[in-house]
Amino acid sequence: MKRKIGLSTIELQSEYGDRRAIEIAAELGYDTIDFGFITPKCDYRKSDSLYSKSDDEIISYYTELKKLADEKGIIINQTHGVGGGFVNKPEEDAALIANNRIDCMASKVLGAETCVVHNPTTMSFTPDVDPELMRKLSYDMLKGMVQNAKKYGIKIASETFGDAVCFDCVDFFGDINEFEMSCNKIFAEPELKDNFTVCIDTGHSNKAMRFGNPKPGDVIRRMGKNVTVLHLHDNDTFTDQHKIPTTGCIDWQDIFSALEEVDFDGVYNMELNLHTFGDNFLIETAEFAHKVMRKLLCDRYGNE
Amino acid sequence: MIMMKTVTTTAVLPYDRSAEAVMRELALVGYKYLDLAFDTFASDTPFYGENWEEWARNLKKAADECGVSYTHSHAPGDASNRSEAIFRCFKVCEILGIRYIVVHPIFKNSENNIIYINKDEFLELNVKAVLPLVKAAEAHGVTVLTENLLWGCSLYPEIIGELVDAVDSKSFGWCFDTGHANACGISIEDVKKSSAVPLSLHVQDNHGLFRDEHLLPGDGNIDWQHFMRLLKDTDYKGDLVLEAHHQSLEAKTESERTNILSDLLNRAGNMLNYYSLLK
Repeated sequence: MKRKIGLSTIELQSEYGDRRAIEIAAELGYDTIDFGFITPKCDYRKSDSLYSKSDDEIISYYTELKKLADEKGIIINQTHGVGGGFVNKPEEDAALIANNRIDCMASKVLGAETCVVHNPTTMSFTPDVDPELMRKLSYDMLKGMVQNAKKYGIKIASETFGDAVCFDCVDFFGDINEFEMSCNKIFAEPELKDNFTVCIDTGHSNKAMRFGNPKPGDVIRRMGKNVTVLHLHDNDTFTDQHKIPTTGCIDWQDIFSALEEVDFDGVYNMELNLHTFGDNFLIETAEFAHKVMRKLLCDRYGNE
Repeated sequence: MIMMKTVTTTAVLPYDRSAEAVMRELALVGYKYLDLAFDTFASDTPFYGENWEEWARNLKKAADECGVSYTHSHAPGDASNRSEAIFRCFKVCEILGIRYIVVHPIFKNSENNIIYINKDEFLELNVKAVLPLVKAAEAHGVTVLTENLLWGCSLYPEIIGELVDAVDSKSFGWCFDTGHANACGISIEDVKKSSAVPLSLHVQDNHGLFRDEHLLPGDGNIDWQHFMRLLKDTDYKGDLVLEAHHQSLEAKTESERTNILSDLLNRAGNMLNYYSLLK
């Protein structure tokens, strides 16, 4: 079975627009896309945004994008939800859930099975944020989002975290114990578990390692068969560089070994900073990343 | 004047029943025209046995006695199917007097690895796959129909139309599935985007957003009066082929199932009445 390689297209979307981003990913040979819902376009509170329009109009917009992807033979297998996590401001948090409903609806229209979201982050608070508050915010947020996902027959994926850059400490959910607990609370709910899954962000987990957390491969092993979605990228553990795999310090053979151990059969999706080599090299960077990932997979699994 | 007939798929009854039993049950409800769902036959049914031709002749005889005609059919697999069964279907169609057989288009690059093919590949692959089938079916007086599905390029009536044009045979056309279109956010109006007028329909309802529910018309969110007006505007000359099997298959009792099938027949009748009143 040929393993599928995917690209998070949010940067291409920002630079070239949604349609051209899909075309570029297809032209570069990617099998799948992680389509990004970009603010301010995806915020119903902004009167000129797409999300402020009726559901029918929003569906119509994404149906056209789906058609383009189909014509180009590329699958939009996952999406990235709007914004950060809950910030403990009732109006803001309610708006996040409302925007997430539209994310889920749009994901369904695009044919994506999963919408990846961010937990609440320490960066919205202080380094000594109350743990109980964070746990409650995470549960309330994920529950609301998973209920949205259930309505549209997709899954919400919670993404692994790293450090809280502005405070030089581990993010609350960068702590693997807290992350695992937040996921297990949702998995424990019979009404929610089928519409919830885990996204391993290798770069984020690599940064969390600086604060005593396991290496990315072991995060995969820890989350086990719940891992169905990936944000693959590399870094030096200090900054969230979103570099092409093998250009940082992650042990990629260990990542592949871990994925095999948990019977991962999804998409090898990369979430890259395509500006790494300059603003004029987005497409070239995406093209090279595809070649690197295909070579990694071929070296390990043969020419599938 | 050509009259549009109400036809139902035989897939509205549980698949463990014999084809003859299904035909007799549907005849009792009041159906006169059937779409034989070859794709529901298990491998131990007479169709897959040694005496399949005799089985087909007996089925024809029984149908004649019940005043039922088989007019449409649905093949197992997709256009890449080269098993003996697909060619057997054509012969059975000839014996039963069936004019149309729906064969799904190919929309991905392999069974086990769902990577959708792009539009050019879709057309090239399907033309190549369909031509031998059309030739074989033609020898039995059968027309092969492709169908708009739920995945990749197969969603779009305009691309299906291009496929029909590319095959360019009087024994090849397409079947418009109302439910597949609606589930995928394709407007039923898009039937007009195809360069080829469909030769058949799969009439079924759903609530959109990729829920291929196969509900009775009226139980989802398709505007059926609008659809019948659209049909009138096209040059459609085919029948109203019902593929609304979900509720009858889910029925808990036989009487509930019969009521659902009777309701389905009535709704189709109302649609045809509405259609006949349109100018």
